[in-house]
Amino acid sequence: MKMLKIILKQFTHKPVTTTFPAEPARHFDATRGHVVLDPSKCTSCTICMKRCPSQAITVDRATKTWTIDRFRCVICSQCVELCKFGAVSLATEYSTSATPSERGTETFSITYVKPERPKKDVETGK
Amino acid sequence: MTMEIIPASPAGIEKIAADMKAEGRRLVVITCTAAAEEYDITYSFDKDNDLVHYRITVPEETVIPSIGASYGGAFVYENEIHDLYGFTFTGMTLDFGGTFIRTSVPYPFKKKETPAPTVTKVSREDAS
Amino acid sequence: MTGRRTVVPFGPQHPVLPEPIHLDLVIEDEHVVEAIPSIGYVHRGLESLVDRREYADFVYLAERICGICSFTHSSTFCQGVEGLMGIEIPERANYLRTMWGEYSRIHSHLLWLGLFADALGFESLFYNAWKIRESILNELEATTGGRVIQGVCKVGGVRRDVTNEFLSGMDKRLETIESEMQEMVNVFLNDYTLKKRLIGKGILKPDDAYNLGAVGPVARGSGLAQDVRTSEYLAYQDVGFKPVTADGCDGYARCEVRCKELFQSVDIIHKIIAAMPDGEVAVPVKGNPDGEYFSRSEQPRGEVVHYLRGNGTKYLTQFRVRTPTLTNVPSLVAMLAGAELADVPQIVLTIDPCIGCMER
Repeated sequence: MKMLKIILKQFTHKPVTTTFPAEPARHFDATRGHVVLDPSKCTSCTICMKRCPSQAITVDRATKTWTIDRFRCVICSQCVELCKFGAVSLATEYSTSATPSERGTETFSITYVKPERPKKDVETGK
Repeated sequence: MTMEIIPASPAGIEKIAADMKAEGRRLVVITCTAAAEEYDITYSFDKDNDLVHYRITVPEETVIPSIGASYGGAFVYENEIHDLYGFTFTGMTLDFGGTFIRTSVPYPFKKKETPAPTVTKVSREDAS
Repeated sequence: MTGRRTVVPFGPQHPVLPEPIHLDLVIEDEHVVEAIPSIGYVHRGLESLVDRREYADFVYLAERICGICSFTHSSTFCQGVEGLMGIEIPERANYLRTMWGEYSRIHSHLLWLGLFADALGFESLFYNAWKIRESILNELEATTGGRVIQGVCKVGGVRRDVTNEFLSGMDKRLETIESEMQEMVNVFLNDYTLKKRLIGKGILKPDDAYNLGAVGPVARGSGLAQDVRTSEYLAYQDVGFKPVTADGCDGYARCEVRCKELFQSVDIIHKIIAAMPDGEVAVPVKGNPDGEYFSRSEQPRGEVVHYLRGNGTKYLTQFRVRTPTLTNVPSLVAMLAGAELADVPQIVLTIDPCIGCMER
């Protein structure tokens, strides 16, 4: 009987839940959604791979790929803090559900690192 | 939280527990850790947020008397240490005989004979 | 009146249990004579990972020991490493840790109250509790970035700062949450049906509670004022902390303690926000931990002990955790002896079992 007041209140209020796929899920500026890489800034220093607590990141220097296993990643944002070049960042949206074969691992194939050296030469040349 | 650890012997641990109980202390935890050659088993007792630690240093597979007579709640720690490290406790209030924590590797935290499984890495083939 | 004894297995899969624990109930005429627990269904051996991860990275793993008291695990681990290395963390970080710790206590208690109502078959109350919990999770997400796994503690302080404007906004929003909680708690403590099912069920006498090493709301529900928050840790001494106790020694008392702690935590957060010092939130950490340390703090479920040992390298050599649920298992066994079979599910829930946490 004590509950009746709370229950009756619900008739005059909007539902608390959101209809997710129709309405976007709410998130805040601070939300750690998923990890994204800016391939143009990554220098393949592999610090993110070495210090990832869940071993989700694989950096292959030979083939120049940066792979993240979304199912292993725990979004602790350790890689974001460690990256000296600002290549790794966090997006606020949660990554959508998927099966491992479909979108389990995401590979950022090309890492534009080369332009670093000539730029420096030009500067010293001047 | 002072960190003074008083050494003790396995034979004397029952008496220490009885003394601690008489003092009105509560058993906080029995921690077993692997030390250099042997194992450290630390008994921590608390009263009004003042921790007292007693430590026995024992080689593998030692038989240790249980402190269950003084602290009825000690059986969870003792069974856990038995299941993870392979020590035998005599006179436990509730003896599970190795079925308290059921692990696929027997005594997973024991050092030499059966090393704990290393980090597993999911291979691509398994994932897809 | 003695009938034949039968053994009824309870769990590991049972509607009231969110996690697997197995109890062998020795039954005599619908009365439990003895309960024998066994665990080990979710043993992960997480503690042994400590020598394969740097101590700074292990904070995230320590946090994942438990999904509900995650924040307290990370802060206790950090506290341990800071104790080993002799780091003084900034005051503001201390206050923020206290604030988040209390937020996670509120959300854990609301989760438990919801699950408990659900186990008693009171679904509308369950939804109500979780509705309020959602607004707490929103506050946590807006400040830390994570809903249940906050990932905000690091060795030497905290990783995120909260602006003072946001804190004052939070103060106002808490008042709304508090009034909602008031309505809900009124149902928990005064509803006829709930009282009928809780009062006098699962008795744990104060002496037994002390001898069996009960901690947290289980101990406080038996009238023991046992709380690590009364010791010198985080900012609890600055805000003046006094543990909540209830004398009923039964399921109702434990429920009452948790309900009252909701308001106590809100109170602490108000005080923390009012007294929040300015300044840095983290100090740089140099060097490696050496020595051994017992770090304790009060989780929503009770006292947690982290044992750490370092040898002067980046990797700690030993890490052991004693979680409150493990300590409360002997008390659960004592509570179940003499109970009726129909009451077993809700008695098991009154200790707020967290099995993942218990087995690491």
